[in-house]
Amino acid sequence: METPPGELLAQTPVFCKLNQRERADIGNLAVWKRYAEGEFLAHQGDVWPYVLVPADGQINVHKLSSEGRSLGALRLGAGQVFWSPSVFDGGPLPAALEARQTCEVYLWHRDPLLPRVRANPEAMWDLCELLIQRIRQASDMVEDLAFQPVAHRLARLLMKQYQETADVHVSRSLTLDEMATMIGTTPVMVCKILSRFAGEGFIKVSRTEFEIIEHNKLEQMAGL
Amino acid sequence: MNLNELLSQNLIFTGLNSQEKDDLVKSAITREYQKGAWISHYGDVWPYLFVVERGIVTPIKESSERSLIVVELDEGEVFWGLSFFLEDAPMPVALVAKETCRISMWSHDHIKPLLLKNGQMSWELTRLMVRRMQYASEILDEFAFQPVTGRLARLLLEHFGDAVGDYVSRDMTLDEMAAHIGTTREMVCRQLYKFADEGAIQINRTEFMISDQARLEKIAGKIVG
Repeated sequence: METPPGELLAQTPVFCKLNQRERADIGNLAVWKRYAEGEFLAHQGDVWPYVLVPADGQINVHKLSSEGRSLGALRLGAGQVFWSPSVFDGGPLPAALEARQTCEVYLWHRDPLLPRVRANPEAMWDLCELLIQRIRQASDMVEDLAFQPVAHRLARLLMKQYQETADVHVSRSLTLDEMATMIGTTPVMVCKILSRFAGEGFIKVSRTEFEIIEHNKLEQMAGL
Repeated sequence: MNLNELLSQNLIFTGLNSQEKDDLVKSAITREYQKGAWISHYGDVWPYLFVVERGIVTPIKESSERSLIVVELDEGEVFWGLSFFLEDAPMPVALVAKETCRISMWSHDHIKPLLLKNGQMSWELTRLMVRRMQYASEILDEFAFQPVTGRLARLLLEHFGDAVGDYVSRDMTLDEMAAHIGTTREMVCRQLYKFADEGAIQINRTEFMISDQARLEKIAGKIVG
């Protein structure tokens, strides 16, 4: 392991409010696990009463429909904490957790963890803030799905990738399936709209990258 | 029911002692709103946590053309502005009085010391947040995976459950139905006529009846999976 749990916790919301001794104590309770790419940490509907902090790799949190479509709710990278809803109410997970690439994670079961966190008021306030941020993310997604057409959501996804690299040549790091999952539609629809964007001269699509040609028009389409 | 009684019945406040509860009642900012009045607008920085004392408050999401009613808050329910927790965060919904209502609210500065002092109160608040998140998650499921047809069928079954085989008064406008399922009134109108043509419902200007519950459930069932 590269990062000991105590060190990781010092930079993680909620746990960073505890003192060093409390963090070391919680660090000793951690269970370390490695998951291969595509492996599920937990399935939608599981009762999974754990807090998770990835030490390395990425985890997709996504919702699945009965027809096999999926919607990406969240992507967790190293140090990004996830509190399963089952920790709070013993209820089922509303989404699945899947390793996007080989990853190493620390897990804490709710039973030994909660008394230690609940004893610290500042940590509890931090937990409220963390949950509120998650509610805001869910609220933004509801707003997008309710009010924005698929073309708008796809344009926004492309612009977001462009903004991350600040290069008009955006590498195709996401498959059509992944893009569809991230904006709540089907791969066929993504393909159709990418062709439309290309036909209208907004972008050029090749096997390995998107080239953004009409930056302003794509931005306008994305409502940014 | 007065505010003190409402607080005593709400899990968030049950961990407070009587003195703390009395102080909270005394320090509450109480406001009355007429039906349709705006309590807070979308995008406002509104750093309050409140309890609905009387009436119903609806949080509404809005776009330039449409609106979406996320949930309805009844007497005794607790809600908050985002900036109560996150400084300067704008409201992701507007708050509107569905009917004449009365709310009691407290600022961040007033409640935070109580939350820091009372671990049970903050724990119950996190549990309420998780319930709200689960609810948002269900809405996400509907919008991502379920067509308007199924969402409307489900709304009719939930809202007009008494109308199976009997006409009931239409107490929901097309606009309200559209706002509940995130679509337009034209789409609701079209789908209602389609349901009527298929024999699932009967509808006229003032009344509504579910004439074939199984058929309507099947349409809604498709969306449940």
